[in-house]
Amino acid sequence: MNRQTLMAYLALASPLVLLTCFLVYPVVDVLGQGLFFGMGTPFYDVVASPVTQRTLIFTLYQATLSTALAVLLGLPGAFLIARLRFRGKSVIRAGMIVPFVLPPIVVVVGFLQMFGAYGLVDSLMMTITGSPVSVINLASGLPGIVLAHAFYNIPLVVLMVSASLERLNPEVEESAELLGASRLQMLRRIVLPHILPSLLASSVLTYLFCFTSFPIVLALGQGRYVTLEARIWYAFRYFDYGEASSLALIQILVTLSLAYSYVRLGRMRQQGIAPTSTMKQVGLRELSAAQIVLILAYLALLAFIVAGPIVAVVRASVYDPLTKSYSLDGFGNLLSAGTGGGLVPLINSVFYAAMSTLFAVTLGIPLAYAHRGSKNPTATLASTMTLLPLGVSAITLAYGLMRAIVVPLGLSANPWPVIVVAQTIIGLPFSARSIEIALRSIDPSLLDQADLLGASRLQKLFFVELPLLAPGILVGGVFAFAMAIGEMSATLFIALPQNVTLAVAIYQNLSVRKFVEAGAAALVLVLVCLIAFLAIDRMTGRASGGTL
Amino acid sequence: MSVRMELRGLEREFSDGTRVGPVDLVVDRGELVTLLGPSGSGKTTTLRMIAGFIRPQEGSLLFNGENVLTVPPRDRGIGMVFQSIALFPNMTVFQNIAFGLDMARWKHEDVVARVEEMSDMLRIRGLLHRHINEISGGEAQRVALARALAKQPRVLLLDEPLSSLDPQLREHLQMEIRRVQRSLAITTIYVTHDQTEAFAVSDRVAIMNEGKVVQIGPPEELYESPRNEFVARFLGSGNVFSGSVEEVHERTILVRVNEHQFEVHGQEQVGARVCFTVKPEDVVVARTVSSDAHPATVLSVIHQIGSHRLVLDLDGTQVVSLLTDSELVRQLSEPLGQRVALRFDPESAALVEPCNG
Repeated sequence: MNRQTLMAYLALASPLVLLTCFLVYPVVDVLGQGLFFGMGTPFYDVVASPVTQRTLIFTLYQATLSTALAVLLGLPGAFLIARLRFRGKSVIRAGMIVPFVLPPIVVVVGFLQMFGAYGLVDSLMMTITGSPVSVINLASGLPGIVLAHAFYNIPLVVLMVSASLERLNPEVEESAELLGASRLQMLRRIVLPHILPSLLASSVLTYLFCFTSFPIVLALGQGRYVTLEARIWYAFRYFDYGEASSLALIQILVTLSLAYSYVRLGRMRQQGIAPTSTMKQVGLRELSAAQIVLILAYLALLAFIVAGPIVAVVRASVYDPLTKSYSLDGFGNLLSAGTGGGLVPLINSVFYAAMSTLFAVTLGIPLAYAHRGSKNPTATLASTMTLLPLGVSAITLAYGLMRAIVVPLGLSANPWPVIVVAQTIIGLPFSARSIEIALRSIDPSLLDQADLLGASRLQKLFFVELPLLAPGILVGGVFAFAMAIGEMSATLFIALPQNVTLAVAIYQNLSVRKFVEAGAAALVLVLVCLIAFLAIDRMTGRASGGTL
Repeated sequence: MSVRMELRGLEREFSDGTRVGPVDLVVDRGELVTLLGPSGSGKTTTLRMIAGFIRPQEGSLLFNGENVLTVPPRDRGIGMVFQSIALFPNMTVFQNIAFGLDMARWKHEDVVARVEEMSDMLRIRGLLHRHINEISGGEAQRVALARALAKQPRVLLLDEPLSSLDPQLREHLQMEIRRVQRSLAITTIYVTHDQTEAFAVSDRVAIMNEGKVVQIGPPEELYESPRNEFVARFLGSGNVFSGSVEEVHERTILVRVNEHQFEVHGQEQVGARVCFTVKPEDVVVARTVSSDAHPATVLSVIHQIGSHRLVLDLDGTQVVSLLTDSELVRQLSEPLGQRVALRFDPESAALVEPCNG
C-alpha cells in the first residue's frame, strides 16, 4: 500500500472512528448498562407495564395520524408543483425547506400563538362569539401535536413526491391516453405506481420524525400526552436508568427498521428512472373555474397551517397573552446578561452551532467521498454511519453521551463539549448528504481531463474538486448550522444552567409562562433560518429539496 | 379498418412565435408516408397534431373524409410509438401490450390471444413475462410496436422510433417495421431525420422545412428530380451550383458559374439567375484535362461500401463525386491536392427552384 492510499484510508477512517466513539459506543453502553446491570426497573417489567404499552400505542397512533395528515395535505401540493405552470414556482419550491429547518420549539411558539388559547384563531373566535374566555385551543393535546407534525412534514411530502412526478416521462402518459386510459385509470395504473416509492419514502421519513419528535410532544402534550421519547426523558430525570434504557431499546428497534426501509426505498426510487427535461404541465389559463376555486381553497388551508405559525411568531415576540398587551420586553431580555436573561443563551447558541457546523462539514466531506464509491463495504459502512443519527433519537444520544462521555471524563461541571458533539452528530446526515450530492454532480471526465493535463492528486483536489464542491460544502454547512442552532432535545438533556441555548431557553421560558421572552428568542431563530434558507437557495438554485 | 388520411391546411402558431403549417398531406389506405426533415422543421408537431396532443388553430384532419379534430386522442383509433419508446416501467411486456385491450375491457381470453398473436408477429413471444427493465433496446422497440398495434388502430404513427438504436439494429428493425406495416396494410406516418431510413421504409416521403411540406413523392422521384434547392441540398450531397444564363440552346442552356460555363438541361431566359444540381454519381472525374472538363482540386477521399466519395474544390465551390474505379481513386488519394478534371452530362443536371444563390 503506498502512502497516498494510506492517507486516503486514514481520511475516510477518521469520521468512522469518531462516530463509533461518540455515537455507537454511548448508545450501546446505555442499552447494555440499563438492560444487564440495571439500576431501576428491569427490561421485562418495563415492557410488561401498562404505562409503557399505553405510551407505545400512543406514540404509534400519533405518528400514524400525523403521517396520514401530512400525506393527505401534501399530495395535492405535489401535483400542483409538478403539473401547474405558474410564476414564482421556484421560490415556493425553495421556500418549502423553511419549515424543515425551523427548530421544533419555534414551531411550538408559532403554534401556540396561532392556534393556542388567546392565539390568533382563538381571538377571532372570541370576537365572533363574544366570549370573554378562550373558545378554542387547537395547540394542546393530540390535535396540537398532529397539526404541528403535519406542519413539519407536508413540505417533505410535497418536495419528494413532486420530484418523482417530474421524472415521469410525459410520453408514457400520452401512450396510456392513446391506448384509451381515462384520467382515473391513468392515475391508478400509471401515475400512482410511478410515485409510490417516493410516496412511501416520504411517509416513512415523516413517520420517523413524528415517532421520535420530542420538543413538540413535550411542550404541546404538557405531560398528559407522552411518547416513548418523552418517557425516556422523564425516566432519566427520575433516575430510573433501567426504564430509560429499556424504552430506548424499544425505540431504536423501531427507528432503525424505519431508517432501513427508507434506505431501501431510496434505492428503489433510483432504479430505472430517466430524468426527463420536458414535463407535462398546464398553465393557469387552461384551468376551469371550479379547479381554480379548489386550488385556492387548498392554498389557503396550507397557508393557514404552514405559513400561519411562522408569521405568528412575529406576534408572539411582542404580544403577551397573560396581560393581553404588547411589549418589547422580550427583545430587552435577549440583551440582558443576568440570570434568566437571553444574552448568554444567544452567545452559547451561536458558539455551539458554529463549532458543530465546523465539525459536521469536516467529517461530512470524507463521509461523502466514502459514500460515493459504489457498492463496496466502505461505502455501505459510511452510508450506514451517516444515516445512523437519523435512526437514533436525540434523547437516546444525549443520554448515552452523558453516561459514556460526560461522567467518566469528569465533564459534569461544564459539559459544553458534549453539546457540540451531540449537535455535530445531529447535523452530520444533512451536511454529508449535501456534499455527496455536489460530489455526484461533478463530471468524472473533468477529473480525468485534469489528470491528462498533468495535475497531481493534490492539485486536482485543491484546484478542481474542492472549488466545484464549494457550493455543496456551503449548503451542507448552512444546513448543519440551522439544525444545530435549533436543536433542543439533546441540548436540554445535557445542558447545565450556564450551557443553556436559545432553543432551550424558549422551552424554559414557555414553561414559566414568560411568553414574550420565548417569542423574541423564537423570532431570532426564525430569522436565522430564513437567512439560512436564502443562502441555500442562492447557492443551489433549485435543488435544495434534494438534500432530503 | 385502414383509413385514408387527409391533412388540409393544418396550422399551429406557438407562443414563442414558431409556426408549423399550413401542412397539406394525403396518405392513402395502407400507405406508409415518411415526414423527413431537419430538426425543428415541424415533423413531430405535425405528428402530434394528428395524434391530438396539439390542437391546430387552422385546417382540418380527415379520416375517410370525416373530420376528427374534435375527437379526443383516445378515440381517434391511433397507435403511436414514441421517440422515448415510453413503455410502462411498472409492468411486464405482456401487461404493456395488453394495456389498451384492458382499457377497452376485452375479455381475458381475447386479450391473451391477441397479445400472443402480436408477440408472434413481432417475434417477442419469449419475452412476454419479462419486466420492462429486463429487455434490450431493440426488444423494447418491438414491444412498443406490438402495444401500439394490439388494439387494431386505424392509423399508426411512429415518431423517430429507431433513433436510440445502433445502426445495424436500426437497419434490421426498419425492415421489420416495413414487413409488419405491409402485412397489416395500416395507414402509417413515420417521422425521421435520417434520409436512409426514410428511403428504406417509405412508399412516399414528404420533405419538411420550416413547418411546411416542400416536396412529396416516392424516394426515387425525390432523389432523381428534387424540385427546389432545399430538397436538393438535403437529399443530395450538396452539389448545388448557382449562376446566370448566358446562352439558350434548343434543349439546354449555358450557365456561367464563376469562371466556368456549364451546359444544363432545361429552359430559362438569358441573364436569369438559376440554380442547378448534379448528383454525385453523375460527376465524372478524370486525371487528364480536356476541353469540355473543368479543373478542380481533390480535397479528400472517403471510402464507403461499394464506392468512394471524392470531395473536390472548384474555385471555392465544393463538389462531391462518387467513384467506383478503385485504381483511379488510389492514384488520386496519394497525395491529396492533385489537379483533376470534372464534367457531367447536361442531361444529368437539373434546375431547382427557388434559387437563392
